[in-house]
Amino acid sequence: LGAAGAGFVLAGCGSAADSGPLSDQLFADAAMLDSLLQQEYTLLAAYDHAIGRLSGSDRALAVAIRAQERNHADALAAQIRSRKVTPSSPAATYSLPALSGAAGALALLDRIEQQTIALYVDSLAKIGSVEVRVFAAQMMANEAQHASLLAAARRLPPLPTALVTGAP
Amino acid sequence: VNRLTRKQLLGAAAAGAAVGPGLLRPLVAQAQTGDPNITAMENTIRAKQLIVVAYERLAATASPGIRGLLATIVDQERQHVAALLVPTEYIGGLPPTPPALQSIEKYVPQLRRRLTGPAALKLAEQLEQFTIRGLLGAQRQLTDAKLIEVTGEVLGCDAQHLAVVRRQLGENPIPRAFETGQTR
Repeated sequence: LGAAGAGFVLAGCGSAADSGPLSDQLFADAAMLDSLLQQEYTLLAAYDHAIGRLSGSDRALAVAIRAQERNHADALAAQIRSRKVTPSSPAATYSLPALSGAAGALALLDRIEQQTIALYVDSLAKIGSVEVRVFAAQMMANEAQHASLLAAARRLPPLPTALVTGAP
Repeated sequence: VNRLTRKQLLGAAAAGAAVGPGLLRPLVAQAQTGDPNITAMENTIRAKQLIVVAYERLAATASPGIRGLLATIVDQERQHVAALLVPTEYIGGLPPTPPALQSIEKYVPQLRRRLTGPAALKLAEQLEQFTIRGLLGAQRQLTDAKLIEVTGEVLGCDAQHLAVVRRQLGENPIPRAFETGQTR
């Protein structure tokens, strides 16, 4: 990555927005942030897919969480742009299972939230910038809260483990 | 403790922590070693030990309606101490001595009396915010990947505690998309 920079296209995502060189660490952080952004896009698609199957307080919860996922995606994209890299766009389609009802919708959302937590936890030690690491930790903490509230909506224990690792 | 180092140590955790359990900070920031990983972990463990003692007191005097929740939280807080101690000792850190309840009551006088359910939950909310700010501060200091990961996993659990306590209080459990442990 020594020559990372000019015209460089991040694997699976956007491209350097100008011809200036990117330091290895800035480039690595931008790539990590972009992988988190893509996961947030997956979450947004899942919520869009599931909300129609929900009603009452479960629907209100899903709508509130979706708004926070949107905030995460916007903030991640801004962080990537600040590193002079173009963030990824959402995929044209996402492969999501057919949902038979509210229980299936909540289970899907919980599963993807767990995957998201695992990705955030894994990313923390790989992020070089301390400020970006704290930023990611704050979002990870919020994702953990989402998982807890979804568990409660599913009548499962909201505090299932002392160490929140996300799904394997 | 060197003044500047202590200031750096508490960095992000300090803002907005002027009341309630935020006053516990003098009991936390005692460690200073040449290794920022050891310093951060010993102070994080010390903060967790304070939280355990405070929760044990809260759980012992809580009304039946919230006793189960507080028992779950205190059990998980004890697990946090154990999970943080193992890698800390591995890198040469020393297990801090758990604090006495009396030393905590000096800073959190609410613990001296039996609290009503809502008052106990409000104090629990402040304790969780205090520990979240500390864990985010540790994320700034740590350089060891394993330590960053385990403190992140603990942070996730404490964020869940905070959401559950807020909900029990009738508050919005997720008021912000970025959980900072700040009160507003």
